[in-house]
Amino acid sequence: MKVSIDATRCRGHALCLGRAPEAFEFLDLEDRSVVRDGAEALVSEDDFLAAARECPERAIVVDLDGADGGTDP
Amino acid sequence: MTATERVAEPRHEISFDHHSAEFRDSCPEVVRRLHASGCPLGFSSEHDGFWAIYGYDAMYDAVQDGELFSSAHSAAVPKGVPRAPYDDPLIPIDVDGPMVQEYRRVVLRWFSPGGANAAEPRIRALATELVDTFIERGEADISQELLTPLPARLILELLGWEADRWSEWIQWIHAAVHDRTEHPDEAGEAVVNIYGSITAEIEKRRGHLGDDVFGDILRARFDGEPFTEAQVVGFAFLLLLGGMDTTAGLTGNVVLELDRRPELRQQLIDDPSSLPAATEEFLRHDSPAFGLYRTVTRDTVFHGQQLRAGDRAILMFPAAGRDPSHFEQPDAVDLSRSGNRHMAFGLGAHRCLGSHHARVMFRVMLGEILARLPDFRVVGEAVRFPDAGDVYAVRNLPIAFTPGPR
Repeated sequence: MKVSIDATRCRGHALCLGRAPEAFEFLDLEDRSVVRDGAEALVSEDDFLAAARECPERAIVVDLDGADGGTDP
Repeated sequence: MTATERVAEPRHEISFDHHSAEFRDSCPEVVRRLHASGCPLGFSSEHDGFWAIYGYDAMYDAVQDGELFSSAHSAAVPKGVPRAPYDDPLIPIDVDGPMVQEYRRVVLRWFSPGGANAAEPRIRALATELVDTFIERGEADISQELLTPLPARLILELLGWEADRWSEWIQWIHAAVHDRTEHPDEAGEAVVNIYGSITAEIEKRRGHLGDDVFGDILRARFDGEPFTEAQVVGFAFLLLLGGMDTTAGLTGNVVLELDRRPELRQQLIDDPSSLPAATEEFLRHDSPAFGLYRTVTRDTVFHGQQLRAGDRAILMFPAAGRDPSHFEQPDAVDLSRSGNRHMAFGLGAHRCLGSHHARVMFRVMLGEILARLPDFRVVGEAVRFPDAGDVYAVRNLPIAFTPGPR
């Protein structure tokens, strides 16, 4: 699984942090969320998918076939 | 999905006026009727003609395309239906392009999630203090005594202005929003007062800027240049508009809903941890902020409809939250709803800057009501602002409850 947030779509609603706070980090001064380093190893697929479903901008991309790992997109 | 196609369908005419008494008195029914009309947007001949966008997918496409749907406002190309009661653009809501983010950045440290979390203790203290003033009476106008003063005082405190003057500011802001269509002279007079008072605040700060939102606006530089006085006024005016009217409106709508739905109220009392999720569902169901406008910049076909350059459009974000093609049982409040991609704060570049504060204020005010006035009931008449076209909200909401200790 590989999860990323499209920085051009994220508009800082911060709803992903409400759904999976351990998976995301909010950059206050950039007005957007990012995936925490290594979060794919700690957070379940279901939680990521749930967070993606809450994002009104549809900015969270969950690639279930992607390689494991936690690089910040 | 293709938002724009080459060939237009016949124009979808709707009989609709968001400033009408019908919209105020039967808003959910009017929105239901629009969704049932078979097109996600429609053209109304009221107010010299405008598009109303209410369908969920059309709304998503409209906000993502800021080049087609311009947010710019000026005396030459005024925005709004009818036009806004001021000439200079409010910053950043009346601006297009990359400067939107540059302008937002000036105050982001205050309005970020971190900023809202930092404000929560103050919001709690204000809620407690305000409820203390009436809890021994067993009755209150909850709108006038809690829901309106709390956000108003908070935005004044954030700006670094005198919070004790909240009621004067509120009168002007309410007139500018709710009287602008029926009583444009009164709205115009309120705007003059708002401009004059913001200008006086600028004068007060010459030479000693505070560690507050207003100080950051006055300190901001773009290519070395500060904002002009008109830009400072426009920025502060927007913060007052956003800060003073909408969160009060949301919370009033929800108090009314909970008065009609005792089982829902009990659910929240029994499980206060459901408040964050409930906040999103209430935002979807009861958001008051209908009056967001755009101007079409070129001729094109959008969701089957022929738009023309210069056409005006209202983006009815709360209506998108009630779109049955996107939300199952959209008129029901379902605290366990998942995938709740509501649009109460708008979407895209202009997403409500105060949304994080709004969530905290709503959650704290509702929590305070449920904890300290759990058996409240609406007594007498809930009086809505006569014009609900921009903000669908109650002005007066008299409640009674078992008196409690301060």
